[in-house]
Amino acid sequence: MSTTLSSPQTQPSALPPEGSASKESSAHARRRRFRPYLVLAPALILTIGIFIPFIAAICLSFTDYSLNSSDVSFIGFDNYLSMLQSSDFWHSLGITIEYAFLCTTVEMLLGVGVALLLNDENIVARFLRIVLIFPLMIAPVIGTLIWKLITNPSVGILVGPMRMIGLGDFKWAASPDSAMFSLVVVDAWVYTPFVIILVLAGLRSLPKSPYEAALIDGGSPWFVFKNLTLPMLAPVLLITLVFRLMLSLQEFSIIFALTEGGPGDATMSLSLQAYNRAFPFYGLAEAIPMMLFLWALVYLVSFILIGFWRRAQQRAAGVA
Amino acid sequence: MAELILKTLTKVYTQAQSAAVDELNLGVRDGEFIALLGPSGCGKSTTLRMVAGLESVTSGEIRIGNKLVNDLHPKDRGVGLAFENYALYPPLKVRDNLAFNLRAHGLGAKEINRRVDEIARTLQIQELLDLKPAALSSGQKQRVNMARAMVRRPSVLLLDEPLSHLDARLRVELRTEIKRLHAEQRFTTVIVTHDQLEAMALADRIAVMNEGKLQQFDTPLEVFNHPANEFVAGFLGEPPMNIFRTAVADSRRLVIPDTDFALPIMPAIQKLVGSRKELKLGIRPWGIRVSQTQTDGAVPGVVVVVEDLGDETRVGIRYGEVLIMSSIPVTRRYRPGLPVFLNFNEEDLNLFDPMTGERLSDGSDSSNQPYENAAENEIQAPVSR
Ligand SMILES: Nc1ncnc2c1ncn2[C@@H]1O[C@H](COP(=O)(O)OP(=O)(O)O)[C@@H](O)[C@H]1O
Ligand SMILES: [Mg+2]
Repeated sequence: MSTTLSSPQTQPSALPPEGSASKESSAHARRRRFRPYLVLAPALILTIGIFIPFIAAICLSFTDYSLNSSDVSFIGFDNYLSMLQSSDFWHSLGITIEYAFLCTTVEMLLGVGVALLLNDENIVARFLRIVLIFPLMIAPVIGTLIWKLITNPSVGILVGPMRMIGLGDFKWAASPDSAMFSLVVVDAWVYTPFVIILVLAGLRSLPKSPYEAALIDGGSPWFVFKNLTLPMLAPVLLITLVFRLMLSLQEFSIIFALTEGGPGDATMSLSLQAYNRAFPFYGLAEAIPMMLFLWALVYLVSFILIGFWRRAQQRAAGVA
Repeated sequence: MAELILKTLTKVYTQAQSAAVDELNLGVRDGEFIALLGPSGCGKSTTLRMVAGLESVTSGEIRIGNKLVNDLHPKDRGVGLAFENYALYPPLKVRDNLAFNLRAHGLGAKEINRRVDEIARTLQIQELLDLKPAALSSGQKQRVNMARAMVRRPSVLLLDEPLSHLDARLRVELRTEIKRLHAEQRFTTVIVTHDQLEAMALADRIAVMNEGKLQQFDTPLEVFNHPANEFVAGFLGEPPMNIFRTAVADSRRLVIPDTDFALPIMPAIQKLVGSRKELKLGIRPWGIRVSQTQTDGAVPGVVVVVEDLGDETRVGIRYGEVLIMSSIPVTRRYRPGLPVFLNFNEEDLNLFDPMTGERLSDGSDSSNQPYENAAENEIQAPVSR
């Protein structure tokens, strides 16, 4: 997926100084000459390891390859054309964007809010800052299953409280109306701590003295946040946003574990759509264009946001 | 604008053994310019930060314009603080740095622009208004820092070492500027500095601090000519005052034991010496005249160092452990090994208690007395030491 990010930037630079080579043994000299390539080897292998399947997948997408038939023929752009003509694809694209947008928005707002509250020196904040790391250690699938358990109509601990506020028959993931809502709740539950931790780290690395100046200058907390904290924090916020957008656009495990794309196709995101095509229905070659489309989408969004991030960084440093 | 009064102001940082600021009494008159002078770490910044409200007060009182401000939020104290490290707002342009306070107080855009332009003109930073702090030199940052402190028209202007990060030429330039600004705006101003020249040049009165305690609070000339104790005497002046221990020999002479040093006790200091057996003598280098002919009361000695500085010549004479430096008009007459005679100016002699370091005073000398009979007693808080 991210071949462009891991392309090796290092350059071989360990050339022996002139004149010294003649004095050294030839074995030593040879070792020296190869050392830069040895150092690069892991990056090279990694790049190749990512590239080969990627290229292979692209090649496959121009065929009618299927997991249950052995004869393969070249069919050009047919897979791509049929994807663009299929209403399932457009539906899934919409779901994917909706999911990513809702999750990212909720998590960023919640995460920044909580981080601001925890960026304080009291016992509660200090305790919570340590505890926050624990949810991140749980695999999203497990987190989803835990959530499934607590909303389970017969044994879930959330059923009682829901009944008390008059929502006893709230169906969560079982109803097409609330399935997306449930997904966002679970995603936020799993990933908000990630946002909190990044934003907290950002907040705690901000210089202290401008805040003293702001204390004397006055202004409401909102005024100070808007004029001082936000611009200084913008690079961290944008990087966090990139991470969350990239991952939520591709999110598979939470949706798969909670709704499997259902009920019906109410939460059938591109990842799930492609997965379903590829495996239960053997249409691997049909699924690849969707994955490539998703990859291009993620790449584009990240590319734009990283551009913003660069500018925000300069602005925060006061350069631009 | 208002007067600023500190009463037994004390700050003990948590986990510190001793007080950073120890029972500080200080009265700054309305429109006055005072300097807090002392070595690094003596509690100057802490004092300023307490006045600004950035540090809590352990005990004592801070009054601005006769209002107790101990528990007032920093923004409500009417102070402007130019920070030691500038503390500008990095993401904001200079213009918005200056406007921050005015905007926070909800002034109209037109009024804000007018005030920002006005202060920018005063501090000559108009051409910087659209730059960000990172693009400024340290001298420019310091100007912006001061402009930001002044744009709100504070009751009390606090300047924390505004000149110390600048190179020598810029320092003198900005020093003159500060003096002009004060003459123009008449803010009650407290400047913090560890540079005695800066304090002498700028302030109406100087408060000398050491280890959190006020040593002396008086006009530059008084502090210089009549230092309240050995610390103040040694801290001000370049080259520093000669201070050395002498014994009183048969109530008639001050001597450095086992050396040739023997200074007859002049009538003017007779009373101060009294029945003491020992005291410390202080005299500035230019209070000593050097000659090659013996006169009445002159102290014989031998030259050990000669420094020709162009506008003065410094001659050092050693008596045992003590090196006495004198500063005389330029001459080529002296060289090491030459026997000379030292004449001590009577009125330049300072006597200090050898134990406490306090200046010996017979009471007729009012320079280091508390302002106990001053009408504005409240304002001229007693000088403590
Ligand atoms: N935040 C702090 N916590 C603990 N001790 C401090 C703190 N700030 C200053 N001090 C101590 O208080 C003393 C006075 O410091 P400061 O007021 O900054 O001195 P100055 O400005 O005169 O150089 C120093 O000994 C310093 O180490
Ligand atoms: Mg300081």
